[in-house]
Amino acid sequence: MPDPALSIHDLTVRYPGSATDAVSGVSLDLEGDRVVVVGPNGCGKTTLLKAALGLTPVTKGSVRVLGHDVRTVRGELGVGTNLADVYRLMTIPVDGLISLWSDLKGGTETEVRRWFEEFGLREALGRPLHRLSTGQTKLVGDLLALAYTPRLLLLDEPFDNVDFGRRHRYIELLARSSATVVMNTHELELLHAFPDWGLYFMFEGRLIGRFRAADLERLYVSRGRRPGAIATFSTAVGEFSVTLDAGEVPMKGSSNLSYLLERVA
Amino acid sequence: MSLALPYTRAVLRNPNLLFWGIAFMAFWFVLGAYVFSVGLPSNRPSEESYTAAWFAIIALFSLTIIAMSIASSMTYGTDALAFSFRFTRLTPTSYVLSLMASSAAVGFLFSFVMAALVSGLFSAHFGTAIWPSNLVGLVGVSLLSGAFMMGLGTVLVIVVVNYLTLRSLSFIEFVPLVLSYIFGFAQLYVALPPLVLYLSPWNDMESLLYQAYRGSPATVTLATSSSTALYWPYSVLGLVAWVVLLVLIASVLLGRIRSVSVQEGRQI
Repeated sequence: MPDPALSIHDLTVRYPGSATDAVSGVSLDLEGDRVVVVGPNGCGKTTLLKAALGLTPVTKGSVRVLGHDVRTVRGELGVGTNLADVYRLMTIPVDGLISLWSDLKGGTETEVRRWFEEFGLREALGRPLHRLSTGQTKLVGDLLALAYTPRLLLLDEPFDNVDFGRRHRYIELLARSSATVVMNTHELELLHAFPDWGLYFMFEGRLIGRFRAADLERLYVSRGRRPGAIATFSTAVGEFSVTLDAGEVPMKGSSNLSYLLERVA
Repeated sequence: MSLALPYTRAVLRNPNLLFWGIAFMAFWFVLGAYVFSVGLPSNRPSEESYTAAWFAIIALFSLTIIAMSIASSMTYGTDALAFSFRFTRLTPTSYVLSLMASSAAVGFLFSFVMAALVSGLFSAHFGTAIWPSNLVGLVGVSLLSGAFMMGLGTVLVIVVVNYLTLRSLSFIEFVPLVLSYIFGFAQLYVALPPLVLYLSPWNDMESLLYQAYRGSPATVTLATSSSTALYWPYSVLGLVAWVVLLVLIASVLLGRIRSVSVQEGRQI
């Protein structure tokens, strides 16, 4: 049996000088499936991805990617991410960045260059990342993440500042990929585009789930512990239950989780 | 080595580096040729030695500036390096070697520009042609010196990134330049023990640059041509040993590179 694409056990990350954990006791095993992690800004989603990429020190627990301890893995080509900072190896135009990255990943440029054309990014090719708009920078990361057929794809808010048309195109590209995917977002309405994906919620560093994105229409959040709850979680504003088909506030129609919890509380 | 060419191209297109690495050094050559040469004995050996010493010291400073500028830009890409070593074909060693190759290539070009400047200015002032004597040697020592400086710069920057605060980088960056001044001028006027001169990479570079320009071995005290001559193979050996040692140290340190925000480098 192959090693899971991503295996996280009891992961805790606390940044120096902080009184609280950015990620607390998270465990996750994924192979061949796709999950979306939904949570408000600052809940630890990006830190979780960074820890999975070895970009932030782990306070406790372990992370393995494609069978390797992330602290010591070397030359594993099957991992892609859209975090723009990982592409800032040097200041060169995006055109050169594609060539450089294709070389470093041992892949061909043809497909990724075609994507750049399809996404209307031809004009961005002549400029370095720091001279692109926020949305263009995000798209460059999104496309480079998907290039070179990754086995594990870690996407941080891939649709932030991306217009509707390009969101739709990227969702199509994602659907064609066979990678194991972890995708962060704070936008609940995005889940409608990924009905067959697994769903986790993240609050104050803790991961809650797993649910099905298709069940979003049936999920409710209520204050306190409810009988028959499929999950309970505590936050700074109190304890909450997630229930199916009945409860205080339906998740559908909520634009983001912070707002949802405020309504429940 | 896929990064060597883009890095070299980026450095050669950087107007700041071209100014501080060449134009500013040309200013010192003008001073050396027309101001500080007052009182120099008017004979061929003195003029040759004086010219070669100026070339050696200023080339040393120029190489230091180039290397530290390239190395310090690593702080803007710590996430990229940490990711690349894990999830691309880039290895710490190949990265260091790419940087060294780039710095060596730039060092070679800058050294030749400076050799041309020195030849022109000092020959014009002394009224006699004082050309570099050993162009092959000049190529070799320029490449080796560029590689050494890059290795040193990389090690210093990664030590700061991994074990100190990024804020200290703006002070650490001066260390190679300060050492270049100390050792460079020491060999000019002070009779350091030959062992120190062989073990000090700055003096190895200075001696070899001097010898490549003048065609005769550097002496323990460059300003005193009658002092003991240095044996150039030992200087080459010393410099090569330093380059190898720095590649090893830099590779180990880069393998543990910490992701830091450049904002940590702000003084205020």
